[in-house]
Amino acid sequence: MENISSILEGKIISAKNYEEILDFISFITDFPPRHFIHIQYLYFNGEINSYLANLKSKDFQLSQLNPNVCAFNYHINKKDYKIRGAFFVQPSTFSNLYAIYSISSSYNWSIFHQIILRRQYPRIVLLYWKQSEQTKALKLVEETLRHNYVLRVKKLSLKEKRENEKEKVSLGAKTAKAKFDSYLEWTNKTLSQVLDEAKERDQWFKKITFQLFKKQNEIIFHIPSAICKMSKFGYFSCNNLYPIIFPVVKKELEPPLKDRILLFKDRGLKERNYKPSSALTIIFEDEIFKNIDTFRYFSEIIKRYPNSTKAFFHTNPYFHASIADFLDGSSIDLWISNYKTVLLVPQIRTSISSLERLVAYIFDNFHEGIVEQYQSENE
Amino acid sequence: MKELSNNINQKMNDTLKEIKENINDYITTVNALLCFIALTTWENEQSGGNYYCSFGRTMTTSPYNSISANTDITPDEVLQLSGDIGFVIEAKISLPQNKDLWEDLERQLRKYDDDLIGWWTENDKINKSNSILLIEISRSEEFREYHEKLIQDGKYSSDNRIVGIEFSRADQFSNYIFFRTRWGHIDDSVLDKILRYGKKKDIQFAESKYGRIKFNDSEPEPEYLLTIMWQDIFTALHREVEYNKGLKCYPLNVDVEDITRELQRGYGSQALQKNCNIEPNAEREVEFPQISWVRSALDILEKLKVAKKNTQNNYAIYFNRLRTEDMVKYFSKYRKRKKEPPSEDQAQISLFSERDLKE
Repeated sequence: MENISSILEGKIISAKNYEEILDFISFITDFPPRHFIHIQYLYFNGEINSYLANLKSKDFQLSQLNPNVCAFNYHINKKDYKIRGAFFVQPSTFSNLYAIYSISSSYNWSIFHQIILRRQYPRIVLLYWKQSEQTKALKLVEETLRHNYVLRVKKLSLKEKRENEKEKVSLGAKTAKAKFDSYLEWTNKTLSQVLDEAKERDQWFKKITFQLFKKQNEIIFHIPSAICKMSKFGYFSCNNLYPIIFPVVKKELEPPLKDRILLFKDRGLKERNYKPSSALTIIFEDEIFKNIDTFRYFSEIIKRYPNSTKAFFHTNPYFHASIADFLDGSSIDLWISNYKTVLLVPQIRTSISSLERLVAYIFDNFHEGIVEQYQSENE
Repeated sequence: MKELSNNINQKMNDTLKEIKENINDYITTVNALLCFIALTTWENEQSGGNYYCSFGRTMTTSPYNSISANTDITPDEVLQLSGDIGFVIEAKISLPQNKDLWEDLERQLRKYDDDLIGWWTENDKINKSNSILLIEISRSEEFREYHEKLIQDGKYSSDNRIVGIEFSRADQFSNYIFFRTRWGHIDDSVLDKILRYGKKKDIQFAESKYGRIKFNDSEPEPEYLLTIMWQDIFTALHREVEYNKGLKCYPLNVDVEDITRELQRGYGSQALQKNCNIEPNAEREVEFPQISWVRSALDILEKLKVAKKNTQNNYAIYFNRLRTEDMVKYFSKYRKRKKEPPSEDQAQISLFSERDLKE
């Protein structure tokens, strides 16, 4: 079983369509240790097959496996790691939304993710799931499987708001850096326990690992039937029970991705023949900008937005900045328009990729909110 | 030595602060002009009425003008609504400290209070019009007193159609512009009533209906123009060229006219014309931003050693991701020292500075 990835590769080569590969995956029940089916959601605009076929890099090679499907094997040749594997890219029912599937060890996947996938921005954008979306999906998984399985949370990668506000303030200029703590937590708690604690302690999950234990006549098995991982950057994996878990996840988590792509579409002036679109807003649950520290923290977060140039026209008492995405060539104006709302104003060129990256960055590093089209009182 | 260094830093900070205040005054003025279009035309547009509006349109005074007959004027904004009513608007976010200079503004408003020629009608004339001063709220009462004293003193007649409308950012977050009449009456009973009680207008709403306007016909601080060019145009352009290892940058070859047209289409005169039913390049229309502003801004990039002037209309931009926290601050570096303090005549009352009082 050294080579479940090779087995997948063999299947991909002979497959007539995606269904054949997915059926094959559904029947795999015996994964080697630390091996998973990895699924990564992404946004791509264009012909993804030809884009991947033409990718050139000194760090990796991709070779197309089958003309019937978008599938490749990869060789990563770095000094510290030389790995190979296979993946396929399944289009969703919604154009521009794709899911990459691979079967490999977690280590290989992380290298593949880091060396190949994450470097493709702005062409490939890894999509973001909000905590509320993830928890809804997790609850649904638990509910769907409750007659036969018990769900326990095994590991959490968390971000937590610092409790000691005084300590935060005393750090002066470093306030922004000290606002949150990030850490890993191992647990054996139920989902509802974890969610309650997260709410109470103002925690965000970056990644959640849960186990499903078989239940029979009220007896719960000690060995988990499946280990699953979900990260906020559009990633899900499991090492068993794929055909019963993933459809639930997919049903719950594909629609918000689709909605956001639609919301971000055709926003730049140029692609609209210079007829302006409405602005977008991120609305937070609470009036967080009433707190001047939070206001400053937002400004600090924007200052540190990577791979971009920023211009701050005003930062006190109101906030107005311009962000240009160096990797994508887009630009967006940001305003804080009231105590709970950030306005995102598209400029001459503002792509879906750049909006997704910026919104995900704000959600991940500042606060999650509801992103929607701006509604004016004047309308 | 340390003290000297502190002084230099302080001066640089003061200069940057002043530049940013000027930029914000400029943005607020443009937003006020845009929101005033939204306020006066939206109801009209809903009912299917035609409207026209323009920044800096050239109008001509009549032979009977009380200040200057048969001359061309360029008000900040000219607005025409479907009921054959027009507004000629001057916007002021600040006033000169020296009150003697305020009379220039009064004369300007009286010059606009005329049967002007240049409206979007068959004979270029209009039945009803108002000369409107849009004035920032902190200066409105003072100027109203001044305006009324001139009338009381018999210097000017009270029989006029001049209206003073104060404006302000509606709250600390500035997403709205609030308007309210301080003196005079608008020649439209519905609008007159609305403005008497005051009305706020949403900037984003105005932008989505009438164009994402960032400029008017007066030249902004070059840092503002440069920031928009760099962020919104050069950053997109650099994606189309290969990185040059020798030059260690993305070399962009830019044509001044192309850049100017793109700014006009996105944020300037063409954007406003497109959304306000104005024929582009019409005789009385003005272009903004202007080619000369763009050229001056690019000359600053040359001073900053990120551009080279090839010809009068062509520049090489050495584009890179500039390692700076704030592009406005970066572009202000060409100002080697703080500007000389303004003379008494130029000095401003408020924190705001103002570029000129146009006659």
